[in-house]
Amino acid sequence: MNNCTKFGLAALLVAASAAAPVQAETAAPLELVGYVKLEKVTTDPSGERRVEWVEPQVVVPGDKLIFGTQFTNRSQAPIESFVVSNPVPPSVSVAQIDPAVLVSVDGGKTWAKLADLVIVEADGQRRAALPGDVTNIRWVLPAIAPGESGRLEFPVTVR
Amino acid sequence: MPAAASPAPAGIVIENTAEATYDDGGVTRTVTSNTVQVRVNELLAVAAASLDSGPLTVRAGPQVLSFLVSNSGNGPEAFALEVITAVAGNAFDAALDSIAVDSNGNGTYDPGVDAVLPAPSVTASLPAGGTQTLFVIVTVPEGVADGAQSAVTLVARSATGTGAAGTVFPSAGEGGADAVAGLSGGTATVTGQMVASASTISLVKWATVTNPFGGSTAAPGATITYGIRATVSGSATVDDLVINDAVPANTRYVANSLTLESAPLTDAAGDDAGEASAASIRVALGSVPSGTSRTVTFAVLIEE
Repeated sequence: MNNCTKFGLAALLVAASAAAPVQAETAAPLELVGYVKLEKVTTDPSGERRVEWVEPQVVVPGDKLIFGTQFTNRSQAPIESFVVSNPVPPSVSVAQIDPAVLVSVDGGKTWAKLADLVIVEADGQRRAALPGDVTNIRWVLPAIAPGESGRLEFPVTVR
Repeated sequence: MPAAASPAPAGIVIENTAEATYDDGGVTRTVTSNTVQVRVNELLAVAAASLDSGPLTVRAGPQVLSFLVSNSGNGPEAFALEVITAVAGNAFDAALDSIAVDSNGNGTYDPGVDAVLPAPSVTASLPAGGTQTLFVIVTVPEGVADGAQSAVTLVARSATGTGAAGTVFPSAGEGGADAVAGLSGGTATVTGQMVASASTISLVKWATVTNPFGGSTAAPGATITYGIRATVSGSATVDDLVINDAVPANTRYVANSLTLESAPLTDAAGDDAGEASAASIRVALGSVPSGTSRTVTFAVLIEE
């Protein structure tokens, strides 16, 4: 009985550290923080166009957003084989993609660089994949040094 | 381009979450980022187009112009309509009678079927991407010259509000979110064109006298043959054109002398286009196209 209880508690702790994000933020060596910015274009009195990226307050179709993830290695050891996957939310269309990044245009079933992907249209016509076709993005980093942080971003247009 | 998906609906929340995996001493670990959320606001956008294939050829009286109003925003929206008949450059101005919606969706104005929008004319709420066919019924005044042109302008305005692009209407959008005026400011303007078609009818009458002695002296016993030619000019066909002429005093109509385009007509009413009596003749020409003429003749005898 006693042994059983101990075993149960241990199993629970393992499960919590792996699954609960709150726990992960403090306990995990890797921190991931997502953010979103809205493009705000203003024209100053001299007619010069200025672009600012602001906290989205009012967003309508056609607006440009940047979705980003900041990662930080909080541990004392390097993190290896670091892969970040980001499904592209519905209702947005990827505006631009780093040609080196792996993407999927079929919901994550197959992955390749955008330039190597082909779309087969409903009428059977084949064409090169475009950023707007991207359904998933995957960044692969060989290693993150202790204390190192960086940002992974992709610009989108609200459909 | 990828298939143009319909705009993100007003009120939905776009969520983005990234997931990372990494190697931790031979064990693959997974970390999920927080989810960022962006709520899509209502975009106020409207488009309007004329459904007439070109300038409507019109005559005095009621005329129907057809328009299409489209909700190009991302939420349900009603549109307030304004019709302007006094447009700069008009050779004549029509008078607005009413605005009707194409209730039965057949693209043609059906009086009594297609609902007239009472003032102030506001459409029903159109879903995002929805369209409404509208009929603007106007009256073209009498006396417009052939070829005179007139424009009728329809303005559709988002019922939520209009303003410069980017104007925010707090909490006025779908689901209580803010509404935002789109590039057109939530207003669309379209013009329908009319060109007047009018016709003029000229009547020419002549007489030829023949007397029993082979001369042309108008004496008792002589026969006068009258000819009447109606010529239609202008751009429109004339409908229901009727020629009436009285038999002159001191003359007697010569039975069965009535002709139309050299073809004999009976004197009886109802069996053909013509009828004649002791007092008068009458020929119903029906529709006479512009640029054509019709000739009627009849004979009378000068009484002794």
